[in-house]
Amino acid sequence: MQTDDMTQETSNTGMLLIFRLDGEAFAISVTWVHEILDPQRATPVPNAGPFAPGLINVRGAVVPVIDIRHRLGLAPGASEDDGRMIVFEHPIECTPQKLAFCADSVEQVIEYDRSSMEQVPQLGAAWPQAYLRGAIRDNGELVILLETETTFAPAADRSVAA
Amino acid sequence: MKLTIKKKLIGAFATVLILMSGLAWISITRLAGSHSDLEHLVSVTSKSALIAAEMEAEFLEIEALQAEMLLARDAEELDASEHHLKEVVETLHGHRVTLGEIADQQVQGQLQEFDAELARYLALEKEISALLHANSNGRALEVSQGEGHDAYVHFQDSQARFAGGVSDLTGGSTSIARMAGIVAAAKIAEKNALLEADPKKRQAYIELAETKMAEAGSILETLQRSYRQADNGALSDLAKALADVERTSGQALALVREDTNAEAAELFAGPTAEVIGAAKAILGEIVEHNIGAMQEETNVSAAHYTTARTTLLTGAAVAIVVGLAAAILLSVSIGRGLARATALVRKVAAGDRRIDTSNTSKDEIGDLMNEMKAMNDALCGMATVAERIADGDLTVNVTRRSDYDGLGIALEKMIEKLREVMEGATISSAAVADGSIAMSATSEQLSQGSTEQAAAAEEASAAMEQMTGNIRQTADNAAQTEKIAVQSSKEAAESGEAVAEAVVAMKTIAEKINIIQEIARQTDLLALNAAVEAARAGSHGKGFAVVASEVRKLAERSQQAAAEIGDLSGRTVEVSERAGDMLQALLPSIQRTSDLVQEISAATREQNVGADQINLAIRELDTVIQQNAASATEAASVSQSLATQSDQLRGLISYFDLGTASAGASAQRRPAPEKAAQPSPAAKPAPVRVAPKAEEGGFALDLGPEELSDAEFERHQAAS
Repeated sequence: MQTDDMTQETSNTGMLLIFRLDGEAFAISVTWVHEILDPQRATPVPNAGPFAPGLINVRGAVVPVIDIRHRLGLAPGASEDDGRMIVFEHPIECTPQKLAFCADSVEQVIEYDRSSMEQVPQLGAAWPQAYLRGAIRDNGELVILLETETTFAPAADRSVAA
Repeated sequence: MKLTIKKKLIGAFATVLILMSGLAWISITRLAGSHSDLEHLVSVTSKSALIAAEMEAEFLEIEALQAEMLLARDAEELDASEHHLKEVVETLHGHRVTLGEIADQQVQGQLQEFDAELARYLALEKEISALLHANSNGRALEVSQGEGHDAYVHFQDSQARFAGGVSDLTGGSTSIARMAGIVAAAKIAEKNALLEADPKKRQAYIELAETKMAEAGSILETLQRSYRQADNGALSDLAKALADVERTSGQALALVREDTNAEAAELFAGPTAEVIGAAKAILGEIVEHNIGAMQEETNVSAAHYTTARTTLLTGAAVAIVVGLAAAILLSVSIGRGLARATALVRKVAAGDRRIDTSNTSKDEIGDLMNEMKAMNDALCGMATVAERIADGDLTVNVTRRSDYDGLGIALEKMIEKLREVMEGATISSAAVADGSIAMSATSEQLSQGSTEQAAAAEEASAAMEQMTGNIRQTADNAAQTEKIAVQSSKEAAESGEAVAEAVVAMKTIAEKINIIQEIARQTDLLALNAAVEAARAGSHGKGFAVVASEVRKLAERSQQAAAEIGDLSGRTVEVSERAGDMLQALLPSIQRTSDLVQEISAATREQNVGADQINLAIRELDTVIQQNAASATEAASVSQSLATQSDQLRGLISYFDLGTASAGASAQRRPAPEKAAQPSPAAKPAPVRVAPKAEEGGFALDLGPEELSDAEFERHQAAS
């Protein structure tokens, strides 16, 4: 499996999971996605920062919930009842760590060509450039590919908060 | 002067009453005398005797108390007895005063004697009391036992001491011993004197004691002389002790010699007893005297009683004889007269006017006979008048005997009324004859009218039958309609329920659809996860990714379809609810219709019953009409016979002689009724039986057009 991944990584195509936030389509690589859940109520953590305000229980494992809206500078979501929760694995300091965040909806898994990825223009974009890897087109719609390394790095948030 | 029964009665009763009052007066006088005797006996004589006896008893008590005083041992007892004695004397005084108030002359004299005795007694009593209070014996005893004893004891001591002092002297000790014996003997004699009652013996003891004391004195002198030179305190002490003994003994003996008690006893036994005896004797005399007086009074009273009894018995015998004689005489004379009067009255009551009223006596019985004769004559006069009326003569005249003559007035009225009645009867009989003819004609018309009525009633009956048929049919229809209305009402209610159930079912479907939607959502999630897994599997997961995407599409489609179904079911629920509401609104209308139809049905049934009743009424009407016809016929025949009867009546009235010519005028009208009455009885019966069988269920009606035309009917105003 690991080898497969590696071969896939080296090839020119990759799989993306497309989800929506405030109607905008975002994508992350499927490789690290663990599973998709119905939204759960997060247990608030005392003195936690706005980046990861709570915890949830995923099949016996305690997983921090990351407020991706806050990171991307979006307004807090009105209701999370009909949304989805995405759980993925992210290496923090070289140790894979499970993280979860909320999306308004999860659309599909698509295959994309790495070469077709475009750069997100610096001007006119509403989101911090650091968290974006690029943009691809899917059926004429622009899908923003997030840079998971930075997006889910707690240090960055801390530095921002500081 | 006429000697009437009243006067006889008054005389007899007056005599008896006078005798009675004389007797009563005598008895009252005698009773008053004996009452005063008795009163004197009780209040004076008997009471005096009683008080005198009581006073005697009091004297006895005084005597006893006096003796008690004498026997009193000390001053206290003496005072108590004396006090008691004074009380008794007080009571005695009281009785003496009471007796003095009621006693007669002789007793007063005796009482004065008694008073003198009582005064003497009181003086003596005072003396005795003084002596007793002196009490010499007691004091002597006191001196002897008190001072005397002490002195004697002292003497014995001194003597012993002295004896001890002179033991060496033979002569001296003998004298001392002798002196002691002599002093003891003197003491014994003194005690004896104190205890002795007899004055002579006492005197002897006193002398003995004095002698012994003197003897002891002389021994002492001898001793003093013998021991003068060797005088010491003992001898002088002894001398002093002996002197004390002598002195006390002398005192005691002096008191004993005085002996007031004995003097008092003597005084009591002598003069006092005498005085008390005299007083008691006087009281005894008073008692005797009073008892004698009582006996005398009793004798006098007995004599009075005997005299009174004799007088009263004589008077009573005379009164009884006089009363009996008067009663017998009077009852015989009254009884005889009344018996005769009764026999006469009985005959008159039986109507017998031949009575004997010859008068023999001049008293009230004689008056009664005379009046009865007058009454009988008057009755005879009335009887004559009545006989003439009976003969038909109404011209006779009756004169009343007084304003209260009931029979006379009645006869007057009878004749007057008979005249009026006979005249009236004559006129009336003529009128009856005319009337009966007219009635005959009328009954004929009535009979015809009844026949026509019968025909009309039959027609009405037939019409009614038809109407009844129609009404019955309407009633049947109404009943059916009612059934249908009830059925539809019920069905409408059921449909309402069914719709309600449908609404509930639809709501359930809508809920279930939600579950399907949830399942679709879960399926979508599963498909997504599958796609992710497929993606992570790389090229090996491609096929699976396709399946996942298909599953996801299916999930989406089912979600869509579920949403549409939910939408549709929601709309259906809405529509069904509306239908239910409409049905609910419709239900009362249907119910109301059903109710109205039921009312219509009920009304029709009532109509049916009403029509039956009308039918029945018409049948009854027909019966009545038949009866009317028969009655009309009968009336005709009756009026005929009435005419005949009025003729007979006129003949009968002519018996009376009214002394006028009015009877002749009406007689000429007699033949008229016969002609008019003739046709009625024969013609009537036939038309009555037009429809004899009508009673059984309807009539055979002739509804011929010639009898009725529509124009004769009035149009009925339709009621709104």
